[in-house]
Amino acid sequence: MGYLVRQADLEKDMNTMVQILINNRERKDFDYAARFRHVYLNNPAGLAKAWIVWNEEQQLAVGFTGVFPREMYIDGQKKICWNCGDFSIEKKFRSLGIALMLRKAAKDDIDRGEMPFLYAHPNERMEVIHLKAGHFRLAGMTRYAFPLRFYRLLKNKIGRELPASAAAFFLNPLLNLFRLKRSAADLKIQFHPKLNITAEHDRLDQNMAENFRVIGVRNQVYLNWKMGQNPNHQVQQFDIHRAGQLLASVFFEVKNDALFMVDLMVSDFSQNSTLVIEAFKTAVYREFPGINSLSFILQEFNPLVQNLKKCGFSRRSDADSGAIIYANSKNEPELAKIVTNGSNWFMTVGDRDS
Amino acid sequence: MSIQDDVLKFLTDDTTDNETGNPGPDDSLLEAGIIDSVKMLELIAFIEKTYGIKVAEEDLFPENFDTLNAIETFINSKK
Repeated sequence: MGYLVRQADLEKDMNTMVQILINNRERKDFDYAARFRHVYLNNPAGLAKAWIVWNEEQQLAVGFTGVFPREMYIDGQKKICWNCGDFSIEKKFRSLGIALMLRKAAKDDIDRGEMPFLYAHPNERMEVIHLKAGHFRLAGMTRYAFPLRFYRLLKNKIGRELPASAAAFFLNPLLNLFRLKRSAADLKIQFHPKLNITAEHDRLDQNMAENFRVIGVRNQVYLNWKMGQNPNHQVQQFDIHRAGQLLASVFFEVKNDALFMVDLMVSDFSQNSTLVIEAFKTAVYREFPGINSLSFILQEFNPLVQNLKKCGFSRRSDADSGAIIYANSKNEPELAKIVTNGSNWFMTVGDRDS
Repeated sequence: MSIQDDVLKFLTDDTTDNETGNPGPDDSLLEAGIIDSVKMLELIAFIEKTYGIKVAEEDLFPENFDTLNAIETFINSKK
C-alpha cells in the first residue's frame, strides 16, 4: 500500500502537524501552534520526536504522532523515557493499518534501544490501538472527587436554583464543621494564583524520588516548563510550610465551579500526605467561595489514592482510562521489570503530556 | 443477502442515528465516521468469521475498507 511513516523535521514540518491537530481536535479555544513549540521544541529534557504518515501517491500527510522525553527516577537513578502524546489521523484515512504503522514507530525506537521504555495515557479507543501494537496496560487511571459545597448536589435533587442556593448557604458551614478538619497549628498555607517554583521544590523532588521506585522528575526546571510556561493551562498552587520549610505543594486548575488537582508533591510521603490533603481542602474552602468540588485523576496503584479516600474523596467512574507501558526487556531486563509493574509508580494526571 | 448487505447490517446495527440514511456503494465510510481504526478491528473479526478468510495487517488500509464496493472486492479477492 502507498503509505510511509517518516520521522518529522520538527521545525520544517511543524505547520503540517499543527494543521492535522487543528483539523481533527475538537477544542477550538486551544493554541495548537504555541502548544507545539512548548512540548516539541522547548522541553528541558530534550527535543520531542514525531513521525508523519504520508500517502505516497498523493504526497499528502495524513496523520502524525509525537513522543516527548520525560526524565524519570527509577530506584533513584535518572533515566529518560518517551511520554507518548499526540496521535492524530485525518478522518478519511483512519484505518487500522495506518494507525498501527504510526503507533509502532515509537515502539520500534524502544526495540532498537534508543529509549528504555515509553508510557502513555490514551483514551479508551486509543488504548485498543496501543494494545494491538503490542504495548501493555500498566494500570487504570481513575478520578477521585470531594464535594466541597452542596449547591450542585442540592440543585440536582431540588431542581431549582434559588431554593438550592438557600439550602446550601445554611448546610455548607454546618456539614463542613465535621468534614473539614482544622489545619494543624504549625502549618502555614500560602496560595499562589500564578506558579511559584523555588529551590525548595528541588528538595521535595529529591525526597519524592527516595520514596517511590518509579516517579517522573518534578524539579524546578520541569515544573516551570510543564506548568509555568504552558500556553494553554493556567496552573495555580498552594504551598504548605512547616517550621519555615516547604512541606508540600498542590498544583491545580480551576474551571467554572470545580477545582482539578494536577499534581501533589509532599515531603516524607507516608507521614504527611493525609495532613496535606486535609489542609488543602480547608484552604480551598476558605480561598475559593465558588468552588463546589475537588477532583484528582491518578493511577489506581498510587498510594495517594488511600490517603484521598481517608480524607473523604470517593471514586468516580466517569473519567476512567488506562496507562500504557512498553519497555525493552532484552536490553534492560531489570529496569523493564520495575517499570512494567504499576504498583511501583507514583503517577498522576500531571504525568500526561501537556 | 449480498456481501454489501451483510457488512452494512453489521456496521449499522449499533447505530441509532440513521438520519442521513445508509451509505451508497461508493460513499466513504471513513469520511462518514461509520468506521475508524477501532471499528475496523470489529469489522475484521466479523469478516474473518463470516467469510472464513484471514485479513493481514498489510490489508488494513483505506483502499480496501473505505466503501462497501471496496470491502466486497477485497473479500472476493481473498476467497
